[in-house]
Amino acid sequence: MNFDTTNDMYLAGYEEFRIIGEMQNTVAAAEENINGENETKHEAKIEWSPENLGEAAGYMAVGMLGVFMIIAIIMAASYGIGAIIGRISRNGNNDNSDNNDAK
Amino acid sequence: MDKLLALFAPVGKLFVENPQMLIMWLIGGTLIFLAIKFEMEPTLLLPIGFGAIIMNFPESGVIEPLETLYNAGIENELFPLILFIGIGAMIDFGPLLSNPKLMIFGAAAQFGIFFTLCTASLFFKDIDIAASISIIGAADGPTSIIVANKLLGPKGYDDIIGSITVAAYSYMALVPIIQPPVIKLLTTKKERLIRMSYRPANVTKLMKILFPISITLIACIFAPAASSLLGFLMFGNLIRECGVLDSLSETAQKVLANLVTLFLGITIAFKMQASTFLSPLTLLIMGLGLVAFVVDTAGGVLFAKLYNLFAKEKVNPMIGAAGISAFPMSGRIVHKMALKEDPQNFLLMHSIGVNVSGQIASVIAGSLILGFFA
Repeated sequence: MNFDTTNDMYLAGYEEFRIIGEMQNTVAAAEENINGENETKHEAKIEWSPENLGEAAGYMAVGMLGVFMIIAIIMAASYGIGAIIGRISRNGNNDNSDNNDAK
Repeated sequence: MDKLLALFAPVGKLFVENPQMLIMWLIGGTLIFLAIKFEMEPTLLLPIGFGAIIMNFPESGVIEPLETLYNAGIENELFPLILFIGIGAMIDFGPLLSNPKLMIFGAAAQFGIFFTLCTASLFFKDIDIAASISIIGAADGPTSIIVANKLLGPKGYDDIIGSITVAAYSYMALVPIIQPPVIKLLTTKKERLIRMSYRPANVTKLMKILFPISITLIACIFAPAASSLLGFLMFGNLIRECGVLDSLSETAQKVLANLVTLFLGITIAFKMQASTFLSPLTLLIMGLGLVAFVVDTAGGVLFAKLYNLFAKEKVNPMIGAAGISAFPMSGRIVHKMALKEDPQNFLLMHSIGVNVSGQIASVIAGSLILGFFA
């Protein structure tokens, strides 16, 4: 390589180092990706955000309704199971009493 | 004397260079003190407190093993779910099944979660953070861990998860201090004297077996996000009630629950490094957690008062407060408060019934939060 000035020599060297540096960075980034080490870490910040309130209130309404509805379904299922089992056991007892009577 | 001073010089330097570390030791010491002296959730507060101390040394060698435990048991939600098997095996749904209408009070006492969601949303641009903090109001450690991990883990807000978990368990331990003043404030003496008759219905073994199965099915259909939490809880309960797995039930209730609790407590401390834990954010989370517990209690009591406006047979509004899922402390507190007002007023079966329904409702609320935001 022929260089006219020291500056040209410096620039050529700088360019080579820059390319090598970029390659090294690319390889390091790829390795991090493979190892899963470059997961984004965020720091939560306290920021006054009244604009969220409307959305949160909506979730509150839907959430409470959801909890009540699912609990009501479970409650109904409990009563239902109780009623069915009660009827089955009553029928069983009646059958037994019939048998006893027959005896 | 000079030699003695020279011996302690590195210790002094340590404190000067890391004053935050000293504060974490004090926090850890306080948690241990509360656990031993006042027996406040000792199974959790003691390991958390000790963990907070050993985590906060420069170049602490304990960080790596605790990180391994954290990744193996909390990040993938394994510990909380296994703990739920143990909790399920401890719960007797008999009092609830003999009077299923009590379940509605468990639902009402989840109001604190959603109220705190609104309050917390004012302080954070990312509403997922507010949602994770609000779940402290579930008064249920495993649910808090799972929801916070699922919502915040992928976003990299790891620093908050530790504060949320510590707040959840600390306030559960402080239920005997938090709840009575709120209950007294919202009820009159006349209301606290209301007696409730207990007519135990015939809860058959078959009913007790079908209950966990049917709840799991309902949860899987209507709140799929709850299927893991409720599924493990009900699996534990089915082991208890089936009658053919007594040794497994006993193991789940004692050995399994104790073992997981042991690891859970010390592992949570991994998120208590001074650099991330000591911040105004932690104070805010603790404050919002307190709001959640207070509003949960108030929600339950006020709903019971509302119920009384329309019901022929009045309920003692204090049982509404047992709807938070801090099981069984909350149920016992209501029972003790009733006995204090009237030594012949036994509310235990009612309050425990509401308390176990709160356990179910809190998991449902947690799953709804996950459904909204995850």
